[in-house]
Amino acid sequence: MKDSVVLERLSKGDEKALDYLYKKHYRMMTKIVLSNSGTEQEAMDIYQDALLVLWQKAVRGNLVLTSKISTYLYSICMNLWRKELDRKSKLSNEVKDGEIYQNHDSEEKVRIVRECIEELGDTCRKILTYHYFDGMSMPDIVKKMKFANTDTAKTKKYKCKKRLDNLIRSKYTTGDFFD
Amino acid sequence: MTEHTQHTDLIDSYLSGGMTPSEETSFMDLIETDPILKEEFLFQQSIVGGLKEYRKNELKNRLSSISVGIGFFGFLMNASYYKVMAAALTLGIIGYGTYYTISEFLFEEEVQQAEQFSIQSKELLGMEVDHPQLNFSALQIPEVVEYATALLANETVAESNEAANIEPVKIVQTRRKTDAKKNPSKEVVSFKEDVETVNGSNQLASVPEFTVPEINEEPVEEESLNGVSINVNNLESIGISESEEGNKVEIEQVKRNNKVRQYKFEEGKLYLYGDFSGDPYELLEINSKGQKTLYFYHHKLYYRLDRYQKSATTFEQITNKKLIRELEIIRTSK
Repeated sequence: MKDSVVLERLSKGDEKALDYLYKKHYRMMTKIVLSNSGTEQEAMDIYQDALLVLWQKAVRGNLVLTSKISTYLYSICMNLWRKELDRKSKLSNEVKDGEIYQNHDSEEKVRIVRECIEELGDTCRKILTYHYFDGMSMPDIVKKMKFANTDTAKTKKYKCKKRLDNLIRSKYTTGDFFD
Repeated sequence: MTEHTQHTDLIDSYLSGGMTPSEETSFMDLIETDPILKEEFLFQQSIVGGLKEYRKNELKNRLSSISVGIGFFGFLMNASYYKVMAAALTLGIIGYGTYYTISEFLFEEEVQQAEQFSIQSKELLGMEVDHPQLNFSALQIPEVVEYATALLANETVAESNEAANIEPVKIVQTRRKTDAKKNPSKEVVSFKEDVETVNGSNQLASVPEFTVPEINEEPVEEESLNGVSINVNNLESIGISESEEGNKVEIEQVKRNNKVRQYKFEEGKLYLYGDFSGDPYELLEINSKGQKTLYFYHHKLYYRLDRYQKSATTFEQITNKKLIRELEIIRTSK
């Protein structure tokens, strides 16, 4: 499959194109981490994160490739692994300084939100995640989720977001969230 | 409410990445001046962060479930595996080439040897008598194994005809075969194997050409072989008895101190009495229709053996010169 075809499919939110890319370049991309003191799990995480960066940019229509997809992925992997090495280095310093607890609080908030997201219906979960993470436009969401039109999708997204807000507010006090 | 809705839209626009950089800067300034807006912004930021994290995990789980085992094309594209495969393929080709070359060489050698042997044999066999009565071209003999038999037959016939004072005819060397059905009678020259070691092929090779006397249309019968009638037209084959188990005559020597040499037959076995160690002996067996005559050769003399001689008796020497010559030809032509 040519890069242009893959990119076209990615821009439409075709997850199978993402699967194809992942399998195709797995060994080459993970080798970057593995040959730079990374583990197999770290290599896989970095490669997956790099692919998701590509995915987000492609879906949002912000990607104009002047090189091969593999070259682009390679550079993302390299940057992400450098950042990860920096993060690990800072983390070891934070543990020494006792700042690790703040990260634990942040993780707790994410956990609370996740539980509420899981309580949402499949449609709401998809429309919200497509919009906020993938950066998918409303017309693309309409196509992907087979809504009647863009207004229907916008209304649905608004209601779903409202529902999630209320769900979180009902279950947890503002104090729990913002302490 | 309207103000809250306006804040919500601003926050959503910011979190969705829908603001320009200047709008973002203005929005961040507004947040710093409005605590309620800031509180709502932090709340919404946590929710959107959770949604992003959820989707990210969902996609990563999807990718993790994909088998990334090296497929066939991956195997081909992988440099290390490619090298191993290429090396194995190269070795295989070299090995096969070597095997093929050696096999061809050995096969050619075998073929050459077989051809040489076959040519040698056919040269010996390739005699076609230029006479309709002899009709040797119709004879069928397995080409390699019985070549000695065939040559012996020619010579015997030639000598027999010569003995009958028949005009010689020229023999042309070609291939020929024996027709066993047309020539039922059989003449066999038998030699005791352990008495004399003769290289048959070499000896035969030394007599590639000779002449055969021309014969009359009527079958010629040789009277000189002491009553043994040899019909040359009915001649089937003359062979060395060792090759035919049924014609073998077992011989046992019984040493005696006296110089008298005797023999007897008992249950088809020939017993020789006396000392025969000074000079090797030979046993000649002439087979024809219903007849089997044995001759004994020792110390340049020929003797006739009576197969029904049950008691030890002395050897009966043959004095008939014609017969002696016949036997001499047969004996030396093996």
